[in-house]
Amino acid sequence: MIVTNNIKVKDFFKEEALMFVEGGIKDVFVAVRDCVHKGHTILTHPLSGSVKPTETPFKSILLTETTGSLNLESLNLIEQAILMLDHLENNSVTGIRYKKIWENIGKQQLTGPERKILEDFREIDFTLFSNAIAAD
Amino acid sequence: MKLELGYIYINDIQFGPESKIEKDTLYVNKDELISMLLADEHLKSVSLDIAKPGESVRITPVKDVIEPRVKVTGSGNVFPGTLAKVEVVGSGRTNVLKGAAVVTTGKIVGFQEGIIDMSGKGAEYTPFSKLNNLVVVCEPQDDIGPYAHEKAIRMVGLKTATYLGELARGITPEEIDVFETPNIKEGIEKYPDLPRVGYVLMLQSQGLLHDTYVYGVDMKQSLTTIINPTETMDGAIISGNCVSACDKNTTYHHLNNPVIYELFKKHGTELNFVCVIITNENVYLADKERSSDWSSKLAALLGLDGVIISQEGFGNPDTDLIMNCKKIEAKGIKTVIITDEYAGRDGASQSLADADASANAVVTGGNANQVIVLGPMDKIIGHVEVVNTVAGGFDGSLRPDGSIEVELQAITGATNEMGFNKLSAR
Amino acid sequence: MSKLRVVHYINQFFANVGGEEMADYKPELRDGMIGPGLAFNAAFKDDAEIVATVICGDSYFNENLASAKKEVLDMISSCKPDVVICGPAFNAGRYGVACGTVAAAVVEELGIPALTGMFIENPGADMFKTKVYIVGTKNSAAGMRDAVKTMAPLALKLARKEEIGSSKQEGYLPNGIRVNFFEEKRGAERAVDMLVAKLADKPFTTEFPMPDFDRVEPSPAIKDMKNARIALVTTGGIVPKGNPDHIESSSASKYGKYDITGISDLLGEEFETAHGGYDPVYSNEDPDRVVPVDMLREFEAEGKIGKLHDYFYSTVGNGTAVKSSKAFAAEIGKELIADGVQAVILTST
Repeated sequence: MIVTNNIKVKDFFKEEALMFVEGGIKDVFVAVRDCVHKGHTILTHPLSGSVKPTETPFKSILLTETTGSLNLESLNLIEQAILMLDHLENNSVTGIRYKKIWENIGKQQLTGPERKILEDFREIDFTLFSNAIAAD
Repeated sequence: MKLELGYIYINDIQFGPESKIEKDTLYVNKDELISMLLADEHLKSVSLDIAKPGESVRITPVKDVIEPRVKVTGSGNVFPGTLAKVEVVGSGRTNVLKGAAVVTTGKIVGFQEGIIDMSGKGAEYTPFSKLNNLVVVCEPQDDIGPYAHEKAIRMVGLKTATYLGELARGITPEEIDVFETPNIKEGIEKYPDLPRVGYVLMLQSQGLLHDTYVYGVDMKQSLTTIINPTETMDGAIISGNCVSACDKNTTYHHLNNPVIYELFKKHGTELNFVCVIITNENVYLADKERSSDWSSKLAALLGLDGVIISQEGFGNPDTDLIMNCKKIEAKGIKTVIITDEYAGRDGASQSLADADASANAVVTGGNANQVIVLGPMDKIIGHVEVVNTVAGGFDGSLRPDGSIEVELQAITGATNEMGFNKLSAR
Repeated sequence: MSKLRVVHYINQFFANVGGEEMADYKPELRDGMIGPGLAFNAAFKDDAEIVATVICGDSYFNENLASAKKEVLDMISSCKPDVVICGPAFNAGRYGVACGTVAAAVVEELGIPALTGMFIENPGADMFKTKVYIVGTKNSAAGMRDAVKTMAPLALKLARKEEIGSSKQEGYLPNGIRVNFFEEKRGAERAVDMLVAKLADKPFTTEFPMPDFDRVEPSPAIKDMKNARIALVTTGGIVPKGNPDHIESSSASKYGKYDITGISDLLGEEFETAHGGYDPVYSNEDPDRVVPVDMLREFEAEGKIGKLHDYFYSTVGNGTAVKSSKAFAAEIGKELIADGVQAVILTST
């Protein structure tokens, strides 16, 4: 099952079980955490790529479709990712700046170059994700 | 396997009517090189520039840095599997233009980072401020897409380095360094009492802008495997990775791997440097388990007593690093790991995304969240408009006087996790 | 440029007032330098001078924490120092706690820079290293010279409000704040040196200590359950109705010990929860849900366990400091062992 806020991923993986999250990376991480509590196991690392989670608005994560008993490793993984995101949003100068940017972009008044940049970020998340699950 | 590196010291670089090396100056025929590079139809335009140590010059956004080398004797050629044929390299003699480098710039995607300042505060944090750099600025054709764009710039860097390296083919080097690794049997016979040491070299391998190639093979697709240390000196490993400027390994880092160099220094006296184990950093968790199972399995099979593990990049590679460390220590093999930190601007936060008690010997490349102010530079090479967005978002980092407030994470090579630099933290 | 003003805090021993028998010495303010102060003063040369010394007995300080701290702070502030030096305390525990308390309070309450010095295993070190700079010293006064060599320059830097470097450069105990600096050797060389030392079983210092995992090895299983004395301990906050010991609903500073001799069932009329971190309705209805006295009495009757211990211990786990929890557990554990308890069922929420 794919949890994502990236429409590029949503459109490409049409046949797969997919949970689309409206919002930013924090919302995706929280949705993943909820899924872990419900018994799903995480299959791809939430902190994919070296682009910091504060510096890109899109994230896609693969979880098992079936559920089982709570997987503590998955829980630890997503909790650490949330901690890292919070840490960078509050303690990193770059993270703080980007947080403002994504809040503004959420209001969707984008000019040409900014729209292209969003497209680039969608592409990066898409390639990191599709390369990861190509291994599946 | 035995390799001689012949050093030709370069202390100046200039454009001239003929590409050549005269004494310690590298002359470059601009037009000749540009027309050679423009043979790639993906490129719309190419321009060259020069940046020397001490100049008031800023290069940004940096994609890769490559050292010019040429294979004089021995099988294969530099950058096998990518520019040259796939023949095995790492033996014979390779000449090196020491003190020179090729720097490629390219705004492949919107957030591109990577600054090299040739003077001022920023120069202290990147090793490339001390080199005579030939900077290649390319514009891709419109609409070629980021994959083709990244590949085009990658090739430009390698081709330029090869073109310059070729100029050193016939020159007698001022100094020669010899590196030799015996095979397993020879090593045991020759150094029966020395501890057997290996180097686990973790390579970034996650997708666009995050890839590393070994003999042309995408490391993402590879199982953990073994390589002779001298093969890296001939460009067996090249970088397609351009994200997280401070802790990504440029091709220059791969050619001049400091762990390999330092292990060779003590080889035969305090330790037996057996081999290099290369492994990847995939996003798929099962891949991480598989790769780390393999590095520990190979380390045990090789009968190693200790390993150095270096990583590349931010975030999920910390998981690979700790997995490799834990599993290798569990086999009774001692480890030292090299990493960097994201401890927040005040240095007070938990620095690593993963941790384990068995990682009791750690070398750090420093806190990448440290904020510094880079003074204004007279000249900016690359994409000027990126300076507004570099590592700080679309507002705020660029000040009216041209200085920029950035984190170390934006400076190319600043917190390198091979231990290339002297920067550390306590 | 006038000399920087330094006030020095020392105990009765270093002030030459007396040994252990004078540990109840009340705080005293004297002009100029005493004892180790002379070494500091010499190290300062023309840049600074010790204008006054505050002396206090270690027992007096530790037994009258609030009032002694105030007295000492008042004495210090009356001298208007640019920096305050406490100790060094080496491995003397009460002295180390006193030095750490005074130095941290000077920084926090007087806003004046301060530092102290002690051996890394001195209890004062762990307690205060994140609150004030503590220079690492040897474990006895034989290390005085080295201590002064490191403490004096750091004191001057603090007095001048200069930037303080990393723990390695300045000599203070790592305090959890990572500071970048340039080493002599590059990272790869440091890594190889570290591996060579590790392989030879020689000492080495990691550049990044992993976080303290504090794993506890489980004790061996009870073989003879039929004859075992089992106690109940809880962080769920179950207390007699009215909370007679006033255990706080969060950040508890105490625990309670409650007699259940003859009680086979905790009733909602007699017990309640003091815990402020969960919905109390069900535990107030039936406190056995948190402290299962009823079930253990059944087991007793059926012969499954030997005996339910006559007391249960209770505190509130909501936001309670790890240090407090450790301290409670140590005390409770001691009593349980003395009372012949073999195993504990610890309930939380």
